[in-house]
Amino acid sequence: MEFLIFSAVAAIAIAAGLLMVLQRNAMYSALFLVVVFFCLAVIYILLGAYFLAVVQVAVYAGAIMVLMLFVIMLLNVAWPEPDDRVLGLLRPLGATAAVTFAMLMAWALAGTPGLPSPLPGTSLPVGAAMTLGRVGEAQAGHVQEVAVTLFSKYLLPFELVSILLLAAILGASVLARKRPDHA
Amino acid sequence: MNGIFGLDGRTWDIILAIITASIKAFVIVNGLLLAFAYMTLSERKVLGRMQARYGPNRAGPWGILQPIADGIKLAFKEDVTPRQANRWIHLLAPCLALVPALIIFAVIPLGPEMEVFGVPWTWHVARVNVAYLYAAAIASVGVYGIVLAGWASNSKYALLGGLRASAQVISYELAQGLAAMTAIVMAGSLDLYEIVNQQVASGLPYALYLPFGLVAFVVYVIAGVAEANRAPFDLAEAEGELGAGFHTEYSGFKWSMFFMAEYVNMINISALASVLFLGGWWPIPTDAPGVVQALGPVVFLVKIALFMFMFIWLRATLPRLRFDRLMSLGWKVLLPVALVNLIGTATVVALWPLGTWPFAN
Amino acid sequence: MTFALPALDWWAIAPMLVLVLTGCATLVAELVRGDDAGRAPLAWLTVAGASVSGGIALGQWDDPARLAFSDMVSSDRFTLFFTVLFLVVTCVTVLFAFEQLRREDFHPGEFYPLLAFSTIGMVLMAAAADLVITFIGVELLSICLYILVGFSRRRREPEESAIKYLLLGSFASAFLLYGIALVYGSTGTTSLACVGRALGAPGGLVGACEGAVATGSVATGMLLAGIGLLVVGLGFKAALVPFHSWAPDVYEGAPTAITAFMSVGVKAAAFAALLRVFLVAFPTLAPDWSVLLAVVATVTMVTGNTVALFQRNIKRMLGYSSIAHAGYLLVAIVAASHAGAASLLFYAVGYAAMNLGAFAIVVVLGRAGEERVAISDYAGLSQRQPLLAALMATFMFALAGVPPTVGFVGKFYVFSAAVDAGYVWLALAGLASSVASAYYYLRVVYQMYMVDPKEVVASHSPHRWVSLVATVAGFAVIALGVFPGGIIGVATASTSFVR
Repeated sequence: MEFLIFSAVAAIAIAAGLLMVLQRNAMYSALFLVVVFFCLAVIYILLGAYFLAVVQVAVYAGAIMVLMLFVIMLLNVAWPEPDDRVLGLLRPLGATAAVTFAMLMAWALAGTPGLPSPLPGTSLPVGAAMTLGRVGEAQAGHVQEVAVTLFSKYLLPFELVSILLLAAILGASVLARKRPDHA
Repeated sequence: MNGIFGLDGRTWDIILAIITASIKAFVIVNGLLLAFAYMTLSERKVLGRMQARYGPNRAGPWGILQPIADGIKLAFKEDVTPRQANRWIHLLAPCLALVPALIIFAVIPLGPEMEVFGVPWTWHVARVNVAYLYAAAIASVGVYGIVLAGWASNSKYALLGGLRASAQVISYELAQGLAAMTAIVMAGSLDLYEIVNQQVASGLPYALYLPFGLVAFVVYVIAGVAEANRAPFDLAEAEGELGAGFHTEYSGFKWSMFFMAEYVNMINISALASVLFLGGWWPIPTDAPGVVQALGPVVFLVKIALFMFMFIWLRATLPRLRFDRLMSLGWKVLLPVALVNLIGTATVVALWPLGTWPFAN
Repeated sequence: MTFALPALDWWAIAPMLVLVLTGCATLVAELVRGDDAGRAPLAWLTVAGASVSGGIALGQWDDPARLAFSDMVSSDRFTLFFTVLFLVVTCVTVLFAFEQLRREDFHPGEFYPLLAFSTIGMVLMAAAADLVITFIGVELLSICLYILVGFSRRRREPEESAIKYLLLGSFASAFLLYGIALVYGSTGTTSLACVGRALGAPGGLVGACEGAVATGSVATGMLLAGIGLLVVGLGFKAALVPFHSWAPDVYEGAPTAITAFMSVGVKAAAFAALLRVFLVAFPTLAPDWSVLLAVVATVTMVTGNTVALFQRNIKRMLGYSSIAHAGYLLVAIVAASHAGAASLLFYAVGYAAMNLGAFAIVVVLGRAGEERVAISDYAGLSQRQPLLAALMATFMFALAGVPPTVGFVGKFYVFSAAVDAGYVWLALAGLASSVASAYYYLRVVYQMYMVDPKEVVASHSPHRWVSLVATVAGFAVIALGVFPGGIIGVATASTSFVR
């Protein structure tokens, strides 16, 4: 059952991911990306990480992508036809690079001795299996577990991210300032 | 039920749970849509009374068949899609607005968990340990409906309306979330059932946990009105400026889906406000004898109805805000107030043991 | 569920805390004083904060090396060495920017805090004991730089540079993150020391490795893929060659102060992170990755030096030259030895001196709206401003690696470390390409001394502080070239964790 859901969702995610890249219309790309985010959320649920799943939807699908849509709408760019002399060369090059990379990753992951995973007929990389093991024992995915880890082991990174956000806000205010007249 | 069809007990439990959940979901969705229909009627009647007129009173006794007549009219009305519009997204948008609105209700606990003739019975479809976040996340997905409707219509009024609406919803989500966090911090849980239970057990709804609970409640309700794009925050469909906002180019059934989404969202916001701040089925005790327990949902529905009346009342009373005032209210008033309020709450919760409130009694 | 705060070892991160406070204080100070108030106080506030931070770092030199905050950062001499280096670079950048802010009418209220925050990012990259911190450091640095590169809103080119840097930089961050995920997937930990232990590296500072797999049971294929992605992610920040295409454009478009900051500070930070990650987490895999890095280093040196030959713009020329120098620095990592690590630190200091010096001259010669960055603008400089010309010549000779400057000594240490590690061909490639590089460095000297000035240019404001920086840098370039022993000793002591 879980395996069926996983396979279906993973297939949708991959298809949506491909469609996102292959679309010319930026709006469609953004929407397919949202589909990918939802598929990821479902996979998090399968892993027992409810909190992460919900946050994935709320933050990525609900907030970030809406802002992206905003930008696309406000710019409302008539996307210029890309220059075929440049793209003609780059497209096969990019495709080759992507396929090579995918094969390389597949090779690297296939050579991985997996631990027995909760999904029948699959094996998970060590790290993921480890995380799953902890799900069982401490009900990870519970907000409490996430919070305790965040404020104990990852306290310093957590606080540092606040500086990162402050820097980002500063940057936004710099960019939003009216440009002085071009000299 | 062991051994039936060769399936073991656990599988049967799962299948049974799925069937129960499906039935409940069916009932809730239809209930919401029915509530929507009569909400439109009562809105028109109440507005009518407030403006010293009668409201609809022709279809059936006291006009109670009016929603059905409206529904039939909308379903058979011509469905116009502008020629330059993006056909698929134009179709997708109303679905994206309505579906999230309908599925939020799954996690709302209408009444206490009880036993009917020895069989456990719950008044919610699912009890999730991150229920509030689920509701907030799904609600934020509903924005897509508005944004895409504005964009796909290929009309400047729709586009501007969509932009306004989504900017407004995103902005007020922050204040709303922070206000809700106040209740969550008080309860120490994101589980809506647990939040209600704590209020019922302590004898007071969080809105009466002075001063922070009341402030959070007020902020939550104001932000909720804005979230629902209702007057006085209904700038997205300010007919004087924008035609009808993001759904200018919609008609027929697709338009009525937006209409439904708006009202169902109002119901959701009311339900969440009742859960977070008014104690859900409070003052019915969670572990009362069965018959009294069954009054829980009734109390809950009464609270929702009061909120709905308030929505109508506001619409009849208050003039629309200007857009920049609306944004500065959200960002410069509600957000800081909610933030300070949350910090205050967190301080109290940290200093006094969980479940006690120094200024409550 | 029990909740235990980790031990809060504030002293271990005190230099960073001071920088955070400095950044926030600058922000508030600008808010209080208003826009029209003078710019000098904010600059001095930043310099003062950096000095206090550097003073604390120097005072911690004799503290025992330790991991702090749940093994997230290491407080050891390596961290302190780079902290001091970064703070010097930051102070110099403030002095450069001070002149430019006045000329270009910048808002200082955001510039200085962003600079302070990006310095924190660099310190984090050097201090990281966990890949999570490495990533946050890289991101903090990058996000500040995206803004700083496009800070001049008066012209269009900086914005183009900034958007290029942003797009490619986010792409590189994704690679870095993917690499971290794969390393975690194969070892079950993100702590550098714990990864090292899982791979069978000899001890050192190792924290609690809960969750890490046992030594020897690491998924090798996935780990190697992860390492490759880490090289891409960090190599982008260091502008190593297949990932360098952003560098010349960004260096050209950014304000000169930021160009100097990036070509010295960011590069050093990227190499500090590379050194930490590869020599703490993956020392046992050195045979696998050092060949890869050796090839990258060769390509980087050759490409940087070759393309630099054709540049007419001095900022672009220095940009390509900095790519070539990234290649030299990478050679030190390829050696994967204590001597190699020490030579990297020494070279980083020497490179900071000569490159900051060169940029100081570029800043002095610039004017409002007209940066005077064509190499032909330097024609006849020796007749107009003999002191500046002499300093510039010193820096050019140093960058080319002519004795008795620090450039020569640094290259000597780096290449001999490579030879000791068995990479004779790499050292030869480095030597050959640095000989070729002499051509374009000396062309600047030729212009200054052998070509008559094309036009009579009115003398500019003296730029006291920047001239002082140039003089000090010129002095340092010679002094370190003649007496390298002190810094080499410090660098050796700072890299004692490398075996």
